[in-house]
Amino acid sequence: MAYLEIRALSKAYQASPRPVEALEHINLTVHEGEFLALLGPSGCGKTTLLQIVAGLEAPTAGQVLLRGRPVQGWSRERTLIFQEYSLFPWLTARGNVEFGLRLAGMPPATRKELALATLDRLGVGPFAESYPHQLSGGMQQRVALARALVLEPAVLLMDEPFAAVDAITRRRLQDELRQLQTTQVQTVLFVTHSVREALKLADRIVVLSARPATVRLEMPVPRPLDPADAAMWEEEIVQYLA
Amino acid sequence: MSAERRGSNTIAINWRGLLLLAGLAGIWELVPRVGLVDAVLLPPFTQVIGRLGSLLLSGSLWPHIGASVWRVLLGYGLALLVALPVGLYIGLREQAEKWLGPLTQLLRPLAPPAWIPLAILWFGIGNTPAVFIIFVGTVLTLLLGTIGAVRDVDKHLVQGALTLGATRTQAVFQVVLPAALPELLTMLRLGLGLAWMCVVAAEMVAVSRGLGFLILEARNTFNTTTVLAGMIAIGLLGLGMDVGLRQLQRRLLRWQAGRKAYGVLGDPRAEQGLSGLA
Amino acid sequence: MRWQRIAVLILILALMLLGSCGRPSTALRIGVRTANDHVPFYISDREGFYRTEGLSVTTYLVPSNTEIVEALQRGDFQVGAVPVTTAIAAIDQGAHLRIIAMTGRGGDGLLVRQDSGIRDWADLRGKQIATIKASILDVLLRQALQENGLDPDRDVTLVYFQKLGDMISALQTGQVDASSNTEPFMTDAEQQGWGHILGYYTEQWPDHPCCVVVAREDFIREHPDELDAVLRCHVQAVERANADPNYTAAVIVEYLEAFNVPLVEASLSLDKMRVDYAFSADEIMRMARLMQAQGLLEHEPDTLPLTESSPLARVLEGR
Repeated sequence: MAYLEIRALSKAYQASPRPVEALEHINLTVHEGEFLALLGPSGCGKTTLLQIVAGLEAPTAGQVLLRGRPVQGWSRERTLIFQEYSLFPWLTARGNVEFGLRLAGMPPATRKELALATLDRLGVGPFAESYPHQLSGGMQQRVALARALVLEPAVLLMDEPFAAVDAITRRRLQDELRQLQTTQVQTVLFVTHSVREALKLADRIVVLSARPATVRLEMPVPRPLDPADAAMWEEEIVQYLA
Repeated sequence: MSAERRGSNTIAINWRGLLLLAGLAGIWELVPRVGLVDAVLLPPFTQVIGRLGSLLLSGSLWPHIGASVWRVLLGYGLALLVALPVGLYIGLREQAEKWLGPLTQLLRPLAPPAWIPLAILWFGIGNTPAVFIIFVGTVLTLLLGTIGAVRDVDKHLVQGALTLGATRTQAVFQVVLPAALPELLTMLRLGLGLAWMCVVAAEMVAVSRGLGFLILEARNTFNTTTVLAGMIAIGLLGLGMDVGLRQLQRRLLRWQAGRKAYGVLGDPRAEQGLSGLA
Repeated sequence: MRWQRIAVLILILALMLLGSCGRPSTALRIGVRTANDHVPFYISDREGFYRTEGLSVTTYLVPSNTEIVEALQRGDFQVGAVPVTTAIAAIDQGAHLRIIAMTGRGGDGLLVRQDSGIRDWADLRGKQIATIKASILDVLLRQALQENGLDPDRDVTLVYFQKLGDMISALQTGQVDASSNTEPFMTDAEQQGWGHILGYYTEQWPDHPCCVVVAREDFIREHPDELDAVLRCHVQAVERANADPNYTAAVIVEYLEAFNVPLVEASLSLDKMRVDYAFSADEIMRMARLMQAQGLLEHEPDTLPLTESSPLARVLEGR
């Protein structure tokens, strides 16, 4: 059974003279523990797709099924991470991470412990009591990741999360994310417009066309990825994006 | 000159501002004494301050202060009580603005004095019409300010909270409100200034006490010294309340500490937790 | 077509310029209130008395006494008409003005509702009375209360308003039990059926001064001829007014753009109010002493240069 299934998903927006179709008949499956990268040109609708999977928007047609059951609205099982720094500025790093735990009713002592442990795992333990504005972009994304992972979501949705940090930080974050995947497997649906990033992180890549988006290519990424192969794949995928 | 020290609770003394005030007071003193302006039109500064002092010492000013402060607090408090929940409700709904638009544009130009005849007609004499005028003078600004503050909340904060398992209610009260708080507090301070501006208009209705009434009565008896003394009293009270609110603001928004640039000596970059950490 | 429009525009502009140039250098500005007893000024304006005297005068109708005094202080007006208490208070506070003539006497009193059951001053005990603080309505009210055995601060509640009209509505709607007010509002309330005039303050002080003519002290000193001319017009207007109440009422209605002729004519009856020009320094001083007794003055009345009677004396002599 597919872990996360996107079935015949379409989304059209009301506009004149005729409705704008963002997504057209998307079919996609994500397997448990899989890191799936969604590639597509800018504005093609990848963010819309992610929003629909997260339950923040409704599709015009089709459905999203998690473990075989259609999803209803939003839930912590499908946590969403943005590229904009979306941490709550009035809470410390630890406060942010504890947020979801508190909503779930976890007692204070337990959630403090868990939050600190997760922050440690992401390498930002020393900054647990700092406020977001005191942290660099990279630190903030790590805290955002900790905040999501501590809830052990069924699917982690990431919308170009490293697009707003500098190249060096991005490289480090990518490495750390890969590292995290090896220690604790997490199902991830990762949206990006960088082919290189997709090749670096994903188990499987899905390429979407320009609007209205449809699936143009699906391919597993052979691991370990030989640099020569990587270059070749990159060139070929870029063709699909054009 | 000193800038505010981050984290400390002392109220910074703004020497430069005080120096300017002292300079203006000096000019105010000299101009009528020297004869540049008729002292009947502009009594010298010391005379006005002396009047304020004697009014305070004789005890006759306190009932007026009490009456005005009470009306400001009551009128402004009521306006907040109405504007905050309604503003929150409307701010969260996109459609609501379309309904409200024409109404607010119609009401906006109505300055407080325009409401006086209605106030007397509906509420008669005494405190009620005065409080009513302060209420209508401020409620619209507070409402629009609240709606704006709620709208300005980054939707990613809300969406983030929802996908962390928050219900809509939890998102509103645990994310939207704290996120809107800085803007709301600023609005609160500005609104209070507005409420004080309404006091004089409000006390043009049939009241027999209050700083606005004192000023009006002084004007009608051509007692310019008392007019100015009353104005200074209102200014000082408004300032005092604003300082109080600013302290509240700092306490509630402690998480913002260090984020603002403070004067000459505060270097925003020399703070803990930044730069050098990738 | 277009050049015709431009030509008309230029013509209008030219006429405006010429019109403004044509003003003689002795342009006089007189500020008076929209009130019954200021009618001599309306008459002088309407009948062109000033022009006959060779004066160029603009008469301004201002609803607020305070504004008239402020305009006089600024020099925007040279002559004005205000209640006697307003004039005294202004001079007490240092205004460089002098009272030079009377314009109205009487006309102030206490108004109650027909249905209130108040028929006697004693019935006012414990009631709420609307008044305008420190005005002539207030000063005379306090005197009337005292002479009728009531303490204004303890036996009644005085409620302060800013405008005559507001007091009338407050009385009519029952928010207050009585109002110290003036003509023609009081007769108007009676004619409408809901009001009852409890009494006039002329009972305590027969023929008391109400409104006076004031002038800037420097104007009195530096332009005596013009001042005399203004006073001549005033005297003439007063005599005209007293000779023909019906005409006077019509002028009042025309200038106030309110009330109706029969009402105003009724309010002008001699037992209610009287338009006059003559005054005495003694009665002005009496009013000032009354104000002082009520704590309204900062200085001793004797020390205040309240009146300047020589211009009027000159004018009356010359007739």
